[in-house]
Amino acid sequence: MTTHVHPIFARVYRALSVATADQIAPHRQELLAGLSGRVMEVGCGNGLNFEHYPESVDEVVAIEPEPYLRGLAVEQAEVEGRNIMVIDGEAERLPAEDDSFDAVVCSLVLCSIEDPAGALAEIRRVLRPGGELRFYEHVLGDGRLESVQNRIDWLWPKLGAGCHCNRDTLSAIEAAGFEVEKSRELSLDIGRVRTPVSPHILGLAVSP
Amino acid sequence: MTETADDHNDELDPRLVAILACPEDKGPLFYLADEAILYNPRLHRVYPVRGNIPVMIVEQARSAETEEHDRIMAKVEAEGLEPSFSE
Repeated sequence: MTTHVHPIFARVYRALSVATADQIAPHRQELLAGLSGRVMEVGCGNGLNFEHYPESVDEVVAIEPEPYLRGLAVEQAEVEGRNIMVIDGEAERLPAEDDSFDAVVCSLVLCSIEDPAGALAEIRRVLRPGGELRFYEHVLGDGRLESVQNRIDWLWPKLGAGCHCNRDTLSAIEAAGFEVEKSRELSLDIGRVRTPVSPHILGLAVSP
Repeated sequence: MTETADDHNDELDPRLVAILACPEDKGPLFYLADEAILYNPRLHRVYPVRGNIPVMIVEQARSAETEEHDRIMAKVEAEGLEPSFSE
């Protein structure tokens, strides 16, 4: 059985996410812009996306299996005072009805899911036809960075609670049957230094 | 929303219950608010609701024996509880 309890990683993640919040906030806004209706967020972490959901979103069902981060997400949902409902669940086995969501949001989560293809199949199941997957993920880069990412990926998941730094997530999204409508690449560097988790993609794909 | 000691006795938001499915067979569940459980009558599986958070993890659910299943289903009938959604 996979454990979802990662007390040290969860606290490091929280600290990092708070430290980089200003850098990432515009990306979160771009990720969520134009969404409406009922939205599922898979792996909401400590809930840093919550404040960026537009008014046109009626309700958010946010799933997070890690208990420390989920507790913070519950607090954040209360701060927002909107229809954000946090539940304990897993991406590979989503606890929701077929065709029941207008959109699903994956934000820095497909790197860490044990079975990304299984999770993407589940996301398609719960999305209504024409529903959107919004994604913001760190991914496999190219050139020298790609080879570094591949070389260290035996170690990386041990440090980052299962996070992989060398996933080709856009290809996985396409392989799951989504139609990628737009995706742009961006590099989140520390100062001017590229790291194994610098290359990101941000975009949207439609479930036909 | 202010947090109070009564929060743990709150009922789940009906809009949330309306989309909840068993993560294993994806079918609807019965929500027994007073027992803080969600029940899958097909697999006889009980999902707990802890601190107003549904725990929708297969490994953390428990199985209901025949006696408990019969009790829950009798209660569902007596109280006219509806499944979380219709199939």
